[in-house]
Amino acid sequence: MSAQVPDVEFRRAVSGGTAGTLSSCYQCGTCTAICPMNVPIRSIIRGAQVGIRELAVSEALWQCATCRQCEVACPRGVDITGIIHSLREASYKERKVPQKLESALWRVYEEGTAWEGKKSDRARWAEGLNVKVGKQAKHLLYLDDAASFDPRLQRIAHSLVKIFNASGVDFAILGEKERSSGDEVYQIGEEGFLEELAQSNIESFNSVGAEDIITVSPHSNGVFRDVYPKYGNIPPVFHYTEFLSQLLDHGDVKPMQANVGEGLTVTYHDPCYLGRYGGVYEEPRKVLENIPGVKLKEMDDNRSNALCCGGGGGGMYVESEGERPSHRRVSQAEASGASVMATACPFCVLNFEDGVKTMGSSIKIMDVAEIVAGLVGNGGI
Amino acid sequence: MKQVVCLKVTPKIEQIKFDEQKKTIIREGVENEINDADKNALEAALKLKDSVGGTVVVLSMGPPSFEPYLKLAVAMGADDAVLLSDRAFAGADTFATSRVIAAGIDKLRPFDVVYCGEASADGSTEQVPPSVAEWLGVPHISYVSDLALVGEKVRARREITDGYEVVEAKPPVLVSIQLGCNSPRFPDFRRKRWADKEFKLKMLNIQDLGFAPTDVGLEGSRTEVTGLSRMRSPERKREFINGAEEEIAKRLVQIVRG
Amino acid sequence: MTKTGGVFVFIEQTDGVLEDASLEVLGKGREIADGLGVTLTGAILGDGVGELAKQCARRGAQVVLVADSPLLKNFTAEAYNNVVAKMIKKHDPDMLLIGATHNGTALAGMLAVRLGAGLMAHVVDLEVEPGTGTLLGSVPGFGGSIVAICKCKKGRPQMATVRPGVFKLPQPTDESGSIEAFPLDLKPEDLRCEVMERKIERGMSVSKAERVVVAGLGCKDNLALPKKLAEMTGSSFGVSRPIADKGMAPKNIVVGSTGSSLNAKLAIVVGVSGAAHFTSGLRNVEIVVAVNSDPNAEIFKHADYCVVGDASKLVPRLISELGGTGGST
Repeated sequence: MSAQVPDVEFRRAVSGGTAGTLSSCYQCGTCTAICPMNVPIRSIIRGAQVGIRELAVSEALWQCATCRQCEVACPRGVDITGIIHSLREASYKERKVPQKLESALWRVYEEGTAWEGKKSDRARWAEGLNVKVGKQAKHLLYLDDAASFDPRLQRIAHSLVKIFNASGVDFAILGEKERSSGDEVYQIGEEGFLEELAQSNIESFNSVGAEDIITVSPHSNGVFRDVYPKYGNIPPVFHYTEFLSQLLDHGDVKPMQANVGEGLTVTYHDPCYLGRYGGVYEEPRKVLENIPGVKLKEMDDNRSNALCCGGGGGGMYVESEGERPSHRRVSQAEASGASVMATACPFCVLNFEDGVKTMGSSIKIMDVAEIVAGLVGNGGI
Repeated sequence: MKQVVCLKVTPKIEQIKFDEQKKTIIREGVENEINDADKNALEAALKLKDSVGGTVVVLSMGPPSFEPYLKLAVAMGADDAVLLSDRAFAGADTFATSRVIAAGIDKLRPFDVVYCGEASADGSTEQVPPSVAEWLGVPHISYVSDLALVGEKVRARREITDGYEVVEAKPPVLVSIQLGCNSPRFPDFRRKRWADKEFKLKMLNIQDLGFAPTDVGLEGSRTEVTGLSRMRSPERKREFINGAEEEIAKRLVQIVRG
Repeated sequence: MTKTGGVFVFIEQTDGVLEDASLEVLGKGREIADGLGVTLTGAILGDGVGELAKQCARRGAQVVLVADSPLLKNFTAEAYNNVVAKMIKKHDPDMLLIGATHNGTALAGMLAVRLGAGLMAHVVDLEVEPGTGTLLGSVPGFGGSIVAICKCKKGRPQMATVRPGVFKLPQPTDESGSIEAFPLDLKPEDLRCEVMERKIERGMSVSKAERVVVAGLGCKDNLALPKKLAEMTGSSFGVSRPIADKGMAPKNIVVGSTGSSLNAKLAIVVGVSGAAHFTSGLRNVEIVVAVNSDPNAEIFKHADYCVVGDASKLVPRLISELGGTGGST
């Protein structure tokens, strides 16, 4: 191999996007060993450190689910997802992006959703439900794309509405005016449109005058919390498990009938964007344990060690290579002895259900909201 | 290499409603978008420009409200935009539409390749591209999924029923591009901001194109609509089959076996 | 429009095989011509198409004009436009009908301008206005949910392209018709497009099949299951448009307003939401069975038997009930 001249500009650009931790990496390879998506992280970082574009701006960048398992393992605190993101921005500028993500971008621009669906259908999930649309309310319930359009995931939204109404929560949804959070736009490395979208969304949120935003998907949280502040003032954002936990703390709920959860053994999977990104581990467990009679079992690799389902970082749109990471997790859930794997992320629900289908497993996948809502009417949440 | 891409701005089909009483189409409040196949056409032109250089001009026939969509096309990479706009152009069928579009393209001579999307999402007649080609007196290669410049000729892969062809022609030539054959590039938003603020497109009206009112629009059309109706579906049974998977499967087998 | 100049049908052939779409139009054309008491003429172009001309006569063409030349072997819009336009100018028919295949559509668009004629595109029905002899075409638009009744107000002949699969194939008779050679003066320089390569793969066309299994996005990219079901039920396999747009199936098996209309006795539609542009292709199906996981899916309004469920569980179950090994994923 002939000697290559390092691309200094490139190295500087990538390093700038990572607050300088690029140079902390001493190439131990722990990240690569632990990566559930088989991304060659070590060599990508090497390429960025030394300034060899072809090594860094590789197709493998798009296999990364941005799960941060590598960061938990990294002995040097390298901002690995920051490096991946900077490289994706560079890749996007050269238009080296997966086609499916490029079409998702167009969908967000034209239909307000990265998930397949039409703008005018966005609020169909709420038809016939007792829900305030676009009006003033204390809380704004934000669905994001997948839960708005996917029939399986709409059940999570329905569950939340049931729970909120039973608990007298004053909330509203944006309905047809709701637009994508822009997570996929961010993940693809597009900046110009993201700015416009974020600003427009912030205006939209503020128009409802809510105290806070309650999200269904931890991926909405991720982009609202980490990216939006750059573009404007967004109200405080909570994932619904945090909100339900708060409701329990304040005693704002009727106690449940004794043993309503009898026979239910649940294991809880920590979604990457709720756990590793949001630091929310105990609240969902608290909500589940509050159900009288329910037994909670832990899987191997829980909390900050949870195995990614493969859905983040644009993963729901890009075909993954190799063994699906969700399969390993389903096996762990089965091994825990639980009959239900509970999770709190729409992407996890879909990926694990696919895994269960493919593996022929008998374990049931449910979102926390669905479990709780299923028991509402047996005495509130 | 000078390329011209015809764009149509179409209503979002799913938002269109039909007034059963008046038997008319309700367009109020319906949002527009660039016809999907035309995005593929623009992408094909930009791809060719990426490899051989030259310029890409987008052209459309419509009211001034089409301007933002032409600017979006400029943000995608088009160098210039022309809007053929005049009240007299309205109500045109494919004959009158293609005539006006061809006249607009004529003003851009000499050109090498003209692109059209294979069909529009609303009318979907697929007639404008071949008609424009005939008005311009250039050969037409239809249902193209890929093309390249080979020597001085355009070489196109053409999708046909049950197969494909590879066709060559010397420019000038018109190609109609197959829906979904490529991935249209997302606009460069920095360029979009510039286009929105600074870019001025060229507008041509009936006099600029040298037409009389009888040549264009509703008057110049060769066909007319005498009535509209909702597509009537035969009354379906709509019988829901419920029960356990096994029961459903057994019932379906009964239906299949007649 | 009371002049009875006769009905012309352009008959497309590809590599020596007559296109069904053209024969369907020929059948309808004969019905119209008989109704008006005029002659039905078929126009066929190609290289060595004498036998095909006879077939056209057996399917209803009372006169067949044959343009035979090596330069016409493969369809090029330009050459065919030149020849057919000359035929029309010479014989001055009242109506010209063309099957809306890719080639037919491309030809019609050029011809309409060459002749200054009105053209109704992709019609799903044709009628003659009693008394006036005016052709009325039902032209679908806006994704197929709305149909416009159109007619030609100026120009001659009245032209229409007809969506494949809308009219039934005429049964062959023992009519021999009158076969006439059309004089040509084509030169190679006249052809500005050259076909360098062509590849044809004929499968059973979905519009002809008695039974069809159609797969949509709800099959979650797993087409092996519905394909197996098609096999087990002796059905052709079709897809909804998005599946072909994703590159997972060829466009020639797309069902819907931009693809084929089904004329099947039984259509099993799996994982299709049922948007208007799709369901317009189901109009002529006798029995529609729909499987979809969404109880509110639009498709159920267009089905006779509705099953709300997960295709990936139901289809393998159905396959094994039919006697196959449980479908693979």
